[in-house]
Amino acid sequence: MNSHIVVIEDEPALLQMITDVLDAEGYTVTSVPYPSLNVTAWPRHVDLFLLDLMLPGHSGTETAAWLGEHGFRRVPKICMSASSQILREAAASSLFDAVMPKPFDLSELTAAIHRLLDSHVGDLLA
Amino acid sequence: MNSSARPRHLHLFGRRRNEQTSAQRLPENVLGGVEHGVRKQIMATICVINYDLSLGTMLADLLADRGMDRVVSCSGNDAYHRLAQGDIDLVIVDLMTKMPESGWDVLTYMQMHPQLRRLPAIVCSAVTDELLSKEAWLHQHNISILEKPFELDEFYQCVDTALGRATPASA
Repeated sequence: MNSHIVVIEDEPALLQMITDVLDAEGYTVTSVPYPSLNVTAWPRHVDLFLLDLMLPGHSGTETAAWLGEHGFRRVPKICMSASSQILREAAASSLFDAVMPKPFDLSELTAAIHRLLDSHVGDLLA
Repeated sequence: MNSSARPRHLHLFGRRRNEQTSAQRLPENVLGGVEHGVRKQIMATICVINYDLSLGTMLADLLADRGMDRVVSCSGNDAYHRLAQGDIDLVIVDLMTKMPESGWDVLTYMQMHPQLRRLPAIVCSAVTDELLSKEAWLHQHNISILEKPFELDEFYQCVDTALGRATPASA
């Protein structure tokens, strides 16, 4: 079964592009155009979240905590941001499993996703 | 124009050997006759994406004043649509110093896009820790940095270098 990735991003064109390239890589992707966080429309099973940390109105950590409250606490999360300070804070928060500094390229994105999905499967099998 | 003088991105942009850039498709009377240094130059299509509203369209105006290239100026909101049209030879992203996120988003978009990822680009920005932390990555991805403030000649040279043009100093 393909891994299911939920992408949350407020820039519509970038959201669509990330969705398209991950779909082409063989993932099942649900794109969430922030701030439409309608969790009832999401799949019940999510393998990974890819989350922009510069969402207007909320900090990334608030959004990550919100995901935890909605049953996704143990799902791996990659946060994206251009701000190294925000990424440092995210890495220190333990709410995220990996950080992606913007800008990034396709190979960097897919490598981070592969790494995280593989390690998460390893954790589940251990 | 011989192959050795061809801008380097033409080899990287995924075109077949007999395909032309938007510049090469223009009529000869538009392309020819422009002397810069010792070589004739080819008109390129340059997209200037403005995020620094305090500068407005300054970069686009400077390029338009030089008269060598076709200049397309767009704001952050319509940049994605403009880039997707596929006729751009160089992208200049004018970062807003206090809120550079949108500019980095458009560069991420370009890196995801199969036809845009090898397009040369210039990031125009004040020197910040943020910019310095991305410097190596930008160079690896064929993205030049133009530090604000800059001299006019410095700007033109940065554009010509990104387009693979000979400059008077190096010709």
